[in-house]
Order: sequence, then C-alpha cells, then structure tokens
Amino acid sequence: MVTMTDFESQLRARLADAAEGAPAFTGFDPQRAAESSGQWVDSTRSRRSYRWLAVAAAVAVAAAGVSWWSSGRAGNDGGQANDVPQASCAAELVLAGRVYRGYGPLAREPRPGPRLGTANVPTCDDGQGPAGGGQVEVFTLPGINPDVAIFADGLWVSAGEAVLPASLRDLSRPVLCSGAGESTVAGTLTGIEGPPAAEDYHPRTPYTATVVADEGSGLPLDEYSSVTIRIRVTAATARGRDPSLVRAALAEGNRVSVKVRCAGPRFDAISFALAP
Amino acid sequence: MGGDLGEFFARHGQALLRFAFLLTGGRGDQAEDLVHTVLARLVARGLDDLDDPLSYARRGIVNEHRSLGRHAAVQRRVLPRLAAERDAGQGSAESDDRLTVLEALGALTDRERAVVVLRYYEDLPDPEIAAIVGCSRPTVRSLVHRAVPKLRARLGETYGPSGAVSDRPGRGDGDDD
Repeated sequence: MVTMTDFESQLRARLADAAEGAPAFTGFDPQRAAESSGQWVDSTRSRRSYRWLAVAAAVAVAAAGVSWWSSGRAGNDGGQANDVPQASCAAELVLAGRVYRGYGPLAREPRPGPRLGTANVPTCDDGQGPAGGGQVEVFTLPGINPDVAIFADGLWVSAGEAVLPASLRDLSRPVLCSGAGESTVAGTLTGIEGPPAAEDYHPRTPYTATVVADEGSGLPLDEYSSVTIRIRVTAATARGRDPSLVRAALAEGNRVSVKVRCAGPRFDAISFALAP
Repeated sequence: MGGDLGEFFARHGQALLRFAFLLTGGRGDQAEDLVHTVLARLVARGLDDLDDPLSYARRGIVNEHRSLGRHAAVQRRVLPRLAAERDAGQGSAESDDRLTVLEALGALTDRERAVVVLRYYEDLPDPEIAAIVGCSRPTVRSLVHRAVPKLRARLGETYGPSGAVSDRPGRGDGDDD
C-alpha cells in the first residue's frame, strides 16, 4: 500500500466521474471490424461518416416520424449491431448551392427558427448501391447566420466552417443534474449502458439510461426543445429492472417518466414508469 | 473464437470506451474511433495467443491515440467537433467539475495523460503502466511527477487542501521498485 495525497485521491474520484460521460458502447460489428482492421485513417473516416449518414437517414425518414437514434442506437443490447445502414460517404445537405454536413448527436436540441426552404439530400453510393437522396425541409437557428449552420432534425454545419460559433458549441455541452430534492423528467429512453442483459430487455443494475427529455423541472427546456441526460439506475430504482417497461420503452418507443435526484452532477433514478 | 470475442466486447467494451474517453480528454468521437480500431485488430488476430487481451487493447488504444496526433488530416477533419468539445466547459456559469477535469487532462501531453489515466483511473501498478505505455518504470514515475503538478495547477482551486495525505490505498509500483 502506498499513500496518496488528498489531491490524488480526489483526482481518482473525479476521473471516475468524468469517465461516466463517455459514449455508450453499442456493440461491435465483426464484419465491419475485419474490413477496417489496421486502417486507422480509413476506420476513422468510415466510423464518422457512418454516424453522419445515420443523421441523414433520420432526415430522410423524418416525415414518417421514425427516429434513427431510438431505433438504431438502443444502447447496450448485448453487442448486437444496430440497424443503421452502413456506408462510407458523409451525410450532406445542399441548400442553395451550399453544402452542409451533419454534426451528429447533440446534448441539447435547439428550437428551430423560421423555415428556410427545402434542401437536397445527395444520393450516396458507397459501392453497395445508391442510398439517400430526396429532399428535406430546413430551418434557421436563432441568432445563427444560415450560411454557417441550419437545422433539419439536427444540426447541419456549412462545409466551409472550421470552428463553430460559441452558441452552437454549447449544444454539445452535457446536461448535468443540479438542484436539491426529487424531480420528474419525461422523454424517450434511447439506450441503456451497463452489464450485459440476462436476456433480451432484462437489464442488470447498475446501468446508465440515456433519456432524451422534453419535460422536467430543473432542465434547461426554456432554451432547448429537448436535452439528453444520463441517469444512473440501481437495484434500488423502482421498476429499473422491469423487462416489460424496458421493452416498451426501447423496442416500442413508449415515453418514460423517471423520478430523479441529484448525486452531484449525476442524475440518479428513484423510480421508472411509462409516461401517461 | 467468435464467442470469446463477443464476451470480451460485452465485458470490456464500455470500460475501454471510458478509458479512451479520458485518454482523449473527453472527445467522445475520437474515443469511439480508437476503440473501434483496436477491437478491429483483435478481431483480425484473435485472442488465442494473448495472455491479457485487456492489456493488449489498452496498449493499442494508447498507441493509436499517439498515432492520431501525427495524422494532421484526421485532426482537420474533426476540428469542428474538437473545438466544440474543447470549449464545452467554458462560458458557463454552472459548476461543471466533469468538464473541468477533462479540460485539465487535455492540457497534458499524450504520455502524461496516459499514465495519469492508467494510474488514477484504471488503478494499475507502475510495471503494468510501463508495459502499456512502452516505457520504463522510472519514466512512468517521471511522467506522473510532471503531470500531477500541471493538474494541481488547473484543478487545485476546485479541490480540497493540496498536499495532505490520505489513508486511501494505492497500488503504486506493486513491488519494491
């Protein structure tokens, strides 16, 4: 045993907490892995473009009310690959000759401004046949020059922009818990992250639930239409291990209502329920 | 073999992603890319002749992360995202210790960050850290001694009294080195 200074002990605790902010590991596709093994740059490009294409796919199906995040990124499902189409070309929109690229998931979903018009989604062919194409309605973002970024079921940034305005960078800032006492948040459960499930939709605690919340006191919903929060679920959480609830939320898309309290910046779940 | 890999991914995938997340100073996209790349190598080579696949994966993530710094093109491609994440903790009145820690990690060199994360997050002994980072044990200690004051300078105001000694156990060298 060696002694550690208070600073080192606190650093260890803070690193453990900071690590909780990592993305959810949503499984691994061995086929894609074999194809990209040892190719750092290629794998980076493929991975990123894959994510952006998923955003483009969301735009393409937005009219049908389908969410790529809830359908394709349902959290830790025992390592199964998600069903987002795989491709190697980036998600892009073209509006009035200007190319915009998908920015990826946001922690804070902005409220769009006035409608700008209709953008084209270029057809993408990654060697597996053409995909994408079509049109999508786009909107301004309050206070943002449309030449810089626009909104279309997510943030799209002009291909010529190297650094985003501060107000847009803020959209990626994690939402942390604040305030005392209990509160209730409601929204869509988009994933759970933790030990492998005993069987489908039988989660093991403790795990972290990702919820895109559009209701809840203490959340910055005056500024944003929804925020993504990560909630710690333990064995003490009522219905936290209820497979019927998890199935209804993840597979069927039912909204959840979660009673939470703050443990420092972390949301801890007291109880889970399907939202009325 | 595939089953072994599946079990390995299920068991360690999230932990590796968290490790990579800290290693990149909180850059989630980079962390995912690092983990994906290293797991891809595991798929290609298999687990058969690996005594410690987790250590292999950590070493791969550390090496890939260091390689990343040499890929200017990659950095240009991710610049907008990095700028957003690097600045994510600024301009906000709310206390955000998590982002402060990540920002402080970002101020370290790659190797300093690696040894800090391996020692204080993964809680590994110095010999194992040395094997993962690819340096000697004295170098590990040297890197820690360089990194901790930097972190203290950035984080000291938000933490308790500096220099006080805690009774908490640490693994240190794991031997008498």
